[in-house]
Amino acid sequence: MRPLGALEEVASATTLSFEEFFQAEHLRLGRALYLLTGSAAEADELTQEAMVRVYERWDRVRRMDSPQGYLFRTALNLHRSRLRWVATRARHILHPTPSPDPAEVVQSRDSLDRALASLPTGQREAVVLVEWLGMDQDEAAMALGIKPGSVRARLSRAKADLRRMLEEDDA
Amino acid sequence: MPELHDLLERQASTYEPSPELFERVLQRRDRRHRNQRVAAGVLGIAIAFVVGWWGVHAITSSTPKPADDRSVEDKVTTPPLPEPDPVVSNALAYGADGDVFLADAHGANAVKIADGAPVDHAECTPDEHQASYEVFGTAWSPDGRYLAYWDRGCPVSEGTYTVLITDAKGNVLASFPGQAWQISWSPDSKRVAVMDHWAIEGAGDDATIGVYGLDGTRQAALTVPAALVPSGDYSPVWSRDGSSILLPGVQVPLDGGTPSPLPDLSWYGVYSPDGSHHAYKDRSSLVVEEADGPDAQKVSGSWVFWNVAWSPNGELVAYEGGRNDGLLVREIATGTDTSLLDMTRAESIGAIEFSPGGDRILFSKWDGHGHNSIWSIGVDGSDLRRLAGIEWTDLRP
Repeated sequence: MRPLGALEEVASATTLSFEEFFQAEHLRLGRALYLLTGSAAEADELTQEAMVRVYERWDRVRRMDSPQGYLFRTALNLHRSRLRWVATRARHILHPTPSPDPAEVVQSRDSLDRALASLPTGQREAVVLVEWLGMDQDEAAMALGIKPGSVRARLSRAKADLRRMLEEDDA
Repeated sequence: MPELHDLLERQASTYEPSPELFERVLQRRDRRHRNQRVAAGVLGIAIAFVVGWWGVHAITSSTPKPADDRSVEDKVTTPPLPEPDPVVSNALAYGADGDVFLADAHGANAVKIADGAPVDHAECTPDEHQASYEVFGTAWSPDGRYLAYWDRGCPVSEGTYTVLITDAKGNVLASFPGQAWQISWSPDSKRVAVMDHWAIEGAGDDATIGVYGLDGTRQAALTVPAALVPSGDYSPVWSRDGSSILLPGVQVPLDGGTPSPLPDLSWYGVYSPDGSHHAYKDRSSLVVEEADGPDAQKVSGSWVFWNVAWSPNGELVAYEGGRNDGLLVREIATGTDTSLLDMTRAESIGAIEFSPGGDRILFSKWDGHGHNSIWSIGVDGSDLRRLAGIEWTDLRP
């Protein structure tokens, strides 16, 4: 996973300690999750939980071709699980439109943040992984557990929507 | 949007993780470890109680029923159905814009056998349920008599759509609800497996695989415990001997046995028709290796399933190469790669399938500008034909 390269400079994966892995990866993961959730607290929580899960399986994970890929896949699955949980809860209490973070999707965020927040989760994930983390589409597909074609489709739609929203905002 | 990365970078850099994050990870992991040990103790007690109850029940029961040690296969008798003639014409089946087509081996003379609306346009009101048909993966049964595909027009309930079993003319023989993507045919063409409940890894709920007969009756509901639920967009695949259903990293026996994790984490591969070899993409390279055994338990699953395909006789593997490499075919005996199709940097392959006769390859191509299309080409690169084109939708032969 080329752009996440900090790890490659630390040590070969099989000799890597979990702490080294954590130090190399947690900031990028946290920032990616921040872009996805729009909430620093949420990003902290998801980073923490994803790292715990990797730590619990560290003996296996460190021997994988891409421990970073596993970490991101775990974090993204946790994020989706949480969205599903929120949606279920919202239906139970008859909220019409479940939002991952309704309290924080407000004017205080700048236009990019608002535009990102308005994208469907899958599209937002594709944008963050490819456009910000710099993964290629195969890597993003692996991290998301979907086909590269789906990443491409999500990304194209997301970029078109973002462009439109940002232009409207500028206007 | 050249500045998008910069905008994202600026936004991302406003986040700083909590300085105690690493300590909190260690603490949470230790706490969970302790809780697991406590839970293991409680589970031990619960098992002891159940075993004890069963012992008492068995002793006090005056007319115990004979143990039914038949397999699911033996217990279930599929009602006789008219057997349509197998399709011998090497017909290609594909879906586009809510319709399903059969074409001849060269992709010509396409006949629409299922007429639906594009999935985004299906009308779903209390009075109207418009169908939108979708082919995902191999629609043909192995014996070439039946097709399995989706009606994605109007959901039965959230995330649940309708699976259709039809004959080669599109006459519906059975329909039943299902979730997720792949509808997997049993090796004997008498049953299909599909997700009844597609669970998300880490969400805490069990997944369920449904096994259905050709008449649409559910013959088995196989539970995959939450702890074994795979990540990503997984779908069921039959094992080669038909005795179990495989998900990425999990084997679920059809005889009701306990699902077990598979030893290998690398599940991005596809078996050769005889099970002797295993092909997978390692980034842009194709790796073909001998399988671990006669029925090795690696799984064909998730998206790479669509980017590598074996010819029916196991002599060729078709795959998408790296950027600009286009569609390639590897001859297994010699290890030689032949490029069938050059592509621009923006273009890419979405899905690859061999025709049942093995002389043609069906694939979908993304042009990088919002358009998908289905093509057919001979295995020697001759006679390239465009079958259909649509926008956006994932298109799968």
